[in-house]
Amino acid sequence: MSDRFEQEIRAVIRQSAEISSDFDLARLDDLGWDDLQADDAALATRVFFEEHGALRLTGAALELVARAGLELRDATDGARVLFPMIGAATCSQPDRILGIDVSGPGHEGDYLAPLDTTDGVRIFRLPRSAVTVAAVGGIDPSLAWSRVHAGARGTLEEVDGDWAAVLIASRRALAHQLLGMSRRMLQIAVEHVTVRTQFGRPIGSNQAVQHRLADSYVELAAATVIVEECWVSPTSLLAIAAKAAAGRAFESISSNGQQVLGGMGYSWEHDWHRFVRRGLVLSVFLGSVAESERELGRLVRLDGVPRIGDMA
Amino acid sequence: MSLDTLQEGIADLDPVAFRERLRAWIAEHLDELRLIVPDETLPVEETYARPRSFHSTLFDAGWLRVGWSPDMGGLGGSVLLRAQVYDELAAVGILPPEALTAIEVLGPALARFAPELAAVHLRSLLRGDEMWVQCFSETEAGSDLASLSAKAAQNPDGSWLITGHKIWNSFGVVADRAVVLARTGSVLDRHRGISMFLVDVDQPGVEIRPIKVMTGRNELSEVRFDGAVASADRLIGEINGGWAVAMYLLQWERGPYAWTRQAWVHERLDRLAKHPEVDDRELGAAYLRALALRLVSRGTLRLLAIGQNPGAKISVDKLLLSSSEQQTLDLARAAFAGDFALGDDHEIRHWTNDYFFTRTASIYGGAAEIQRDTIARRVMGLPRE
Repeated sequence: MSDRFEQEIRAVIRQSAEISSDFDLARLDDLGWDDLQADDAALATRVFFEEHGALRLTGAALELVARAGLELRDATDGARVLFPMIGAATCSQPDRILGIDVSGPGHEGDYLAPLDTTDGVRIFRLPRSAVTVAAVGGIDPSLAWSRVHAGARGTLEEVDGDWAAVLIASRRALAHQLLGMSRRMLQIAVEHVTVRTQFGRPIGSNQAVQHRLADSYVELAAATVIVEECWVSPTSLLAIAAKAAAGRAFESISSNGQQVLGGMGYSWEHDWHRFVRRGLVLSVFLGSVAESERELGRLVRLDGVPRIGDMA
Repeated sequence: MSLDTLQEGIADLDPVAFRERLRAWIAEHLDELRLIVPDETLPVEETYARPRSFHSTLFDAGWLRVGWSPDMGGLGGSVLLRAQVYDELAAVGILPPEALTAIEVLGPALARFAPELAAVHLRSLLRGDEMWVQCFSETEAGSDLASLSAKAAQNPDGSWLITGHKIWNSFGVVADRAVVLARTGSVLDRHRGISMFLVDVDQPGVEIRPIKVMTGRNELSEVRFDGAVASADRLIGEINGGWAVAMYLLQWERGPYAWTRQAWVHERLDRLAKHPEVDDRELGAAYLRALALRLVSRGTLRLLAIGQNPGAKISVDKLLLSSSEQQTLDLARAAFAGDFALGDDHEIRHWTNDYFFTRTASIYGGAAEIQRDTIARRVMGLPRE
């Protein structure tokens, strides 16, 4: 797929963003989404989620990816994936079922929730009537997430699907989103230090400022190669690594950008805090940097240190 | 120990088939290799004492000849194949020593800019029969290499007379020849007045003195040239074109050499992963960094393999190289704690040497500060003062 297609995808998404920061999946038809996925799923998904990050879009984008990872054979139209609460591996809690609906308010259909069983993680249908849905506030209410909970299980219908595959696809997509957002943040920082002058010259001509932003550039470059490899080899380990690396890149630009943006970066009026707030949530969702790195260490201990990537 | 008959056709294999052949060969020769791999805890003079069986064994079996032109002692094929050799050896705990991986930096520059010299000399270098010392830095010209002042004056017969003082030269104490950057223009010409030469060190005009470093080994040296002679054919590249050769050489330090270091880091992580005191999270973080280094340097290798210039972004490779090495050895230092401070056995000596050596990863081949300057100014376009 050519650069031209990529630019076209980005253009459609940006046009949509001008109307609303909530991306209506119906607009995917304008993109010819099904054809794009057939042609080059990696490029389509990558661009889609990077633009979501850069433009701070909300909506059901992750739903698309998660469902693709589900290999659903049942008729589950209208059902949404329920994601684990931050810090949890599944929606199973000691006394109830708890998860996050990331696709926006007003869902009337069922939820598909990963739950612990004696046979590992399985996916179950939660009827809408059985759950309570409440809006999530927190540090970034504009995400429009909802907290969904239900009482102790009772008998639930199991749905065919591979939760591990859902996690891989979702973490990879989130990594793209975090990277798209982090790149935009770096761009904002570079623009600011280029035009802001003090002592007769741009503050971006100071080595200390340059080195901070160069370090963030390196973190972005590191995360980019890892996320790209996750398309070549969609393994659990690589998806965890991609999410962790993207989280680290976000932390780096969040910190360095904040510093060089000075008073402007602290103001409510400037968009900076909106990016920071968004990233503070996304970087811990489906595995924080710390949790992910700990899991990587555990995997590497258990299975040996993998040498990832072929040499063609 | 037997020498394998030359492995015809290994350079034509696809990467997977090559790797399988390589693994089989390594498995067959593992005990031998363990016996002859140079011990980098010994004094440098002993580590690299002849015969350099480890290196010649790998060369004679063909593995280190892949990716080099047949005109120059190679077997043809892609450098990406040869890159696997470092991975597969490291995977069984065998680490090619530092001075031998340096060939990945010098060899390509010679092949590209002095093919006639390469046709004569590269084989000896690849096989470990010779070792070469890079003589670039001077006491007053480190990061600002373009200000170097060692001189090369041309005699009427076309040969060159070299005068000057080089410093921080790796493994000079065991070197047979020197790759020297010297001034053939004026100091004001800066990088445009520099040429590169291949100089034999066994002559009256060359004096090499060891520099003992933090590890207690003579890893570095200073080299004095006082009327040292290089024949006319020993020019590498054009007259006053030495900078282009040096810049080309640095690309190979970012790609293939960085690749050998990621193999090294992965092996160190293999060992740390077996150590109960190593924290899971810190191990995971160090692995994440090593993975980034691996994939980024593979990207650079791929570009170099098709003759493309990776551009200023290879500063990313260098920064990842230094941060990955240092992070891994910092982890070792923290995990081994008391042993690291007070232990005396061979394995700990290896770790402490590694700890010290990795401190230089952010200094040699372009200091980290320079890499950051490059990324900021040339890649991101931030303004100069």
